[in-house]
Amino acid sequence: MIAHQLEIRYQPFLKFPSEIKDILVPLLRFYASSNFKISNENTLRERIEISFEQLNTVIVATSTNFIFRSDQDLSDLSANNSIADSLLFGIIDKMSSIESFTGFKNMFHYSLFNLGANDENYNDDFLKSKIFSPGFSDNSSDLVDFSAVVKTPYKDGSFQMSIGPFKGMSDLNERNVDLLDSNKLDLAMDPSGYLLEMKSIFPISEFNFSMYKAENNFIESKVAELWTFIKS
Amino acid sequence: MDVYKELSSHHELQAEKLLESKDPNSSGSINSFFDSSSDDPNQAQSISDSNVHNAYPSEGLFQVGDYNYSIPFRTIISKRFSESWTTSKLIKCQVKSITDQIVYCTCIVDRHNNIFETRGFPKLMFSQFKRLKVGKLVIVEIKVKPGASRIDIKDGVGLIDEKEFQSHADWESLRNAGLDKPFQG
Repeated sequence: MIAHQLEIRYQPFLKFPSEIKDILVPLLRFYASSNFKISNENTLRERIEISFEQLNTVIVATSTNFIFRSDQDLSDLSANNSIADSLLFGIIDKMSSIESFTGFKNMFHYSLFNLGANDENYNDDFLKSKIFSPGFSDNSSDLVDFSAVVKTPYKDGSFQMSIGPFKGMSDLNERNVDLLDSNKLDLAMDPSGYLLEMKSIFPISEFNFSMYKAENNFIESKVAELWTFIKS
Repeated sequence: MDVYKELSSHHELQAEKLLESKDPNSSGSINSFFDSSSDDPNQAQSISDSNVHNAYPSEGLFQVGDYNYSIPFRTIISKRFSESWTTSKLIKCQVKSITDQIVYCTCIVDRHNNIFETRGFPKLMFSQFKRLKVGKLVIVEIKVKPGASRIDIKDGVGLIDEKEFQSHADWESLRNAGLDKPFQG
């Protein structure tokens, strides 16, 4: 697991500037070491970002979406009493219970994985042989970068995964990814294996932790299936 | 596995762009979401409406602080010196009883299945609370990383709803009520 981001998008929440601070204040008190930034304060464009550096987690709240970013593994975030379960989804619960909250729109789940790292068997040529026809593979020695993308309908939305060689910082920069976990910097500085990107988006009328957990399980199962296929 | 057959046959070369573009006008860029928008409320509406089918992050991932497209040297330095934990758990607890040495707490181990456990902690870990009494709501934070673990006891006021412990209290009130004895007859 390299990076993960969850976005809950809702109808424009007109009372966001006046309501959100009461919801977030206990969180700031709890994490005295957290950093927070407020921009466009007291406007509909207000944006609040709270960074929990020690936990490799950031949340961003705006009048139209709530973003949860974390470098922790999906299985850890899905566990009971994880930071997602105990606190962060409590924020959405409180926000959605406000009378002026007009409803959810969709949920966007994004994850980046590094597969086959530190195993020289899993190099570019091996992946080419898996996803390209032999004739193409033989004449593609000058190929700088490549990826295979699969996109399918999913829960009235879509699910997409792509796999290609992991090029380290250039791949992360291309996606505007800034690693939160310093332990993963080595991974980016000395890349190996493959980069797997998973994205799913679908409309929602409600949101709770069980839905997030189910989505994490789905993504993890797809990663396992794909990796089994690549290795076979 | 059909989808993977599709993967094999449907190989799609994307050497130039993998997914998100760095175009500042694209919906995947942080610049487009708020910073580059005008104050026109109609435009704000259109921005949010575009999210309906927007399969891209509303903001660039992991833009902590002011660093947008790379990890500058000083960010790396600050991260290196900041203690970082791999996983964390936050367990909501209510103080149940207090002895000279130990504070016993009712802890919500699994709130989805209403599983509670009583755990004891050294009283010293609660000494930051000036008026510790039975019923106080606290959060036990357990952080783990390779080779180390840490437990913090933090004030749960504002983060814990006392009603979450109510179902447990209801069951506790039935203890020794004789309801668990078989019918005689």
